Amino acid sequence: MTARSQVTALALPGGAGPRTQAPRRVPGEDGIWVFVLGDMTVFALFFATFMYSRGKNPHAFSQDHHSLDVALGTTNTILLLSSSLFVALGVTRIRAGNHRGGFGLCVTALGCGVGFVVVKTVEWSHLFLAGKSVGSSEYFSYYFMFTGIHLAHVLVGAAVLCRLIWMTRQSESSERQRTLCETGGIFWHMVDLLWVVLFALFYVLG
Amino acid sequence: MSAGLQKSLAWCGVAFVLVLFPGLLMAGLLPPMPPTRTAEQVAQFWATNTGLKRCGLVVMLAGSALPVPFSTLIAARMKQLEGRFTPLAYAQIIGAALSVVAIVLPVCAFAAASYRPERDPQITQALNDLGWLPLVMFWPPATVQCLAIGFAVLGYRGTAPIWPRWLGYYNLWIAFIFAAGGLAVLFKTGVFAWNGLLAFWLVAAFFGTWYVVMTWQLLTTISHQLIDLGEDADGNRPR
Repeated sequence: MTARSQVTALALPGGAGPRTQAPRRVPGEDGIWVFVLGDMTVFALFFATFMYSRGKNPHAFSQDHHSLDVALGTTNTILLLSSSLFVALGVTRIRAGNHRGGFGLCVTALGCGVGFVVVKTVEWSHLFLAGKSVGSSEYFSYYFMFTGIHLAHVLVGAAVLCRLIWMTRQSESSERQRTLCETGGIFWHMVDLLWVVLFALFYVLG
Repeated sequence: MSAGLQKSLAWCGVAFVLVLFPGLLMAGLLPPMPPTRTAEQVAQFWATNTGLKRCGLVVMLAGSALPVPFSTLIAARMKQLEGRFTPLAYAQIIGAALSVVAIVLPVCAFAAASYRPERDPQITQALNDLGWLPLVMFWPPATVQCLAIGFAVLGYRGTAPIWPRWLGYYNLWIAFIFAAGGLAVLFKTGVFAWNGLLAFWLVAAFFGTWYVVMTWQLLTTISHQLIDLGEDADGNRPR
């Protein structure tokens, strides 16, 4: 996945290129990793329960899987992966003191995030109209719960992006604000990473 | 305030867990019964070992208010973080107070279910549902409480933080975990039902550990306050 490795390389300016001499540091605030690793552990539990249930009832899961629109899922994957790239580029600009450049990139990332929410709304509306809902089958219980919880993360992430965009209005930023900006970026990458796994589980696994 | 009294308030958090979970076990609520049980099976459940089950409910009720002194100590610490204007400390106290309802309301419903084993099973089943659903679904006050703590820790701008910033992120994360039971009414089977892995077990485990972690973090702050206020271990200011 080239986009992600590119994102990682850009998000870790001390970890690649000629500046490898710089002291190693954890990106963002140390504390955010408590949240990120904790949240990813819970999602790992989500994925494990899904795979366990799917293993017990592969035929029903496979049948329900075909009701999903893979094109919409793929669109959303592209939207989130792109927004992650824009956030990484934006954070790099802000950390370098280029607030104007960071502003444009963060707004574009937010636009992709909003696009994700719109596509998800369209997708859910189609499913509801087709009579699929939380209670209609085990597969759709998982689908609506997991993508719903993920959607809540996207909304929180969008609020964090709004905060970063607000910060770029000032001409100068403090070291604390630059760290905050990197921390926000890490949260958005997590939201993106979780979606990639959800996409694989629900849309790709046949 | 003396360090001993502060420690007592802090230990109320661990005491709550040590009273609540044995109470749940005695009442036969751990592990939770499946929501798919018929009215007759539910009535049968409440008609067997009824004395022990009622005692378990009494124990749960007795422990239900232990978060009150515990959360007031958290609020006092949050006021140190927030300064003179302390809305988050108030939100935290109110969240903690309303969370007590998440124990008291189900205990009352379960007590009513156990009260007349000879009655129509349909009624006992309804009371049983009225106990289980709020026990698992009553997440918003606990989430508000954790969010308030999280934002107070992360919002601190001074130079002498009394808590590490990871505790702020930890509380934000726990706030999200507590919401996992919120949709239990939509399910009768699976991981999000009231006996499910995610709606019940995950939340119960993190609910229990949160009290232990917060007690530990409160205990680490006690010496700080003595230094801040220049008080000795008995709470007296030196003349």
